[in-house]
Amino acid sequence: MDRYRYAILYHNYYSLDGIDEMRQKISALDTPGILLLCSLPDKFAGSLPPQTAHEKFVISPNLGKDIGGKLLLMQLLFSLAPETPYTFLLHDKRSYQKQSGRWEKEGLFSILEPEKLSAITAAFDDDPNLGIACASGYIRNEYLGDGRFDTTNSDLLGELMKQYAIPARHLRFVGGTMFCIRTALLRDFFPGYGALEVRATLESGNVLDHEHGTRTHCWERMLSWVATSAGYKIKEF
Amino acid sequence: MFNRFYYLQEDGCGDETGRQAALQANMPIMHLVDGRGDSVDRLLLHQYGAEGNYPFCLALRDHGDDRVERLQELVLLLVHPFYEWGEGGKPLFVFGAGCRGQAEEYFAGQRLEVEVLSGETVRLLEAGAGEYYRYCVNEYSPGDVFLLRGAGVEKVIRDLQAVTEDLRLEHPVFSRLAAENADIRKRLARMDRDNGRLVQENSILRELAELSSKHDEVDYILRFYKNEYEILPLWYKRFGHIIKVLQGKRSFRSLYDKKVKKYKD
Repeated sequence: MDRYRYAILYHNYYSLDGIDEMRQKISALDTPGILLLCSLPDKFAGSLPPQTAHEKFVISPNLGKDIGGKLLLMQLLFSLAPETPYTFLLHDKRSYQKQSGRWEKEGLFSILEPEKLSAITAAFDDDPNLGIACASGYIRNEYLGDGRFDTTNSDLLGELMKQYAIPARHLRFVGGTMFCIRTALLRDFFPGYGALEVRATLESGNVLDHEHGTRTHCWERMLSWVATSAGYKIKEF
Repeated sequence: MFNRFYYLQEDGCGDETGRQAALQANMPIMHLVDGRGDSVDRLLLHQYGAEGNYPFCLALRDHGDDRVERLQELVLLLVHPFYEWGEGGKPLFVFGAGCRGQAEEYFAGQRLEVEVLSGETVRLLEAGAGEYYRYCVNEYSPGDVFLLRGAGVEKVIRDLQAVTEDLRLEHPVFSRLAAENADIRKRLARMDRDNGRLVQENSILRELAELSSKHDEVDYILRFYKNEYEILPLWYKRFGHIIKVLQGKRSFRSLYDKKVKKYKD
């Protein structure tokens, strides 16, 4: 397996157009990367997507939305190219419940713009304490203190914090779960088949957290805490 | 052939000749995973390489060792796009009944549709193509699955094709019914999968439609206008008019005379 500077873990849920969009973004980049893709079985009823040198596919039922897909792709990355230093987590976001869904996606995807990607990898090289790089304006913090969060996921988050010994400090996270993270942090947090074990706990289908908390939405936050709980910083670009 | 046939590749992914012969006969490859060493790692690299784009499935040798880790390491192969679909899901052959229940439970937890097959329905064709002829005449059952293995599989496949032709000539009614049955079972399985996909797609579209319908664009624009323009205090707006006059965008007279044109072209 070739060595890559970065891996892009892309969960495709809505339309295969998103994959072409991702390929276009990668073709504009100078540095070679590996693209790992997760999509649903119904997208490929006609012809199956082949594995190529720099593009690997998995097809999986919808378990844990993009988080489940990203966990599966992490496990694939750990098996195929574990030494890849940086991992981009992305998905074809369409927040139909929000007016700003399209703008949000464009903002979150901006970390793959050539100038930003160069700046991000350079920042990782320069600053050993930098754990996550994300697009500007997407860092959130819902922590209210006393183990409570300003979200329907508050109770579940409390349970997961205990289970994974996440300290009640540095609880900032990247809204939208699209960011670049040091692969080593993911490997350390999910040893062995840890990513698959978490995936099995997530909910099936396109779950929402408007009324009740879900494990899927908790892991949207937890994926950022993989870095912050180990003392690493999140920085906007 | 009137049954499902697989070519059991026991040496991981080494035997290229046998594999090519089986694939040319539309026979998926079955890789044997026995939990030893790094066999799964090597298989992963092979299947996720450019040479791994062919239909395959897995067979698990039961050593009485039923650790979940052995099943976990198969997940990435089961989600490979070219993993074969059988009649009841993705076929996983288990030699020995020890880990069957655990395999079913584990893969259900990962929401993977896996058809665990064991010795009751799986037959090893050890005595060549003649054995298949006798089986068809004496004890044929459409749900049975056959495995070919070992060296010289090219010849066995050629012989099987010849035996199938003999059966067509000597037992035409059986051959027609068996072929139709095999075809119907295949179509039924595909329709079942398509149905599952359509149900899932329908549910996604319904959810999206519901979410989209919650957008009241008119209401949103009116609220936006009210918040941005109507809700402002009067003095703020008047101050804005004065700034426009100072910038030369509006005539001074228009501040007190409604008959004159407000803005310059």
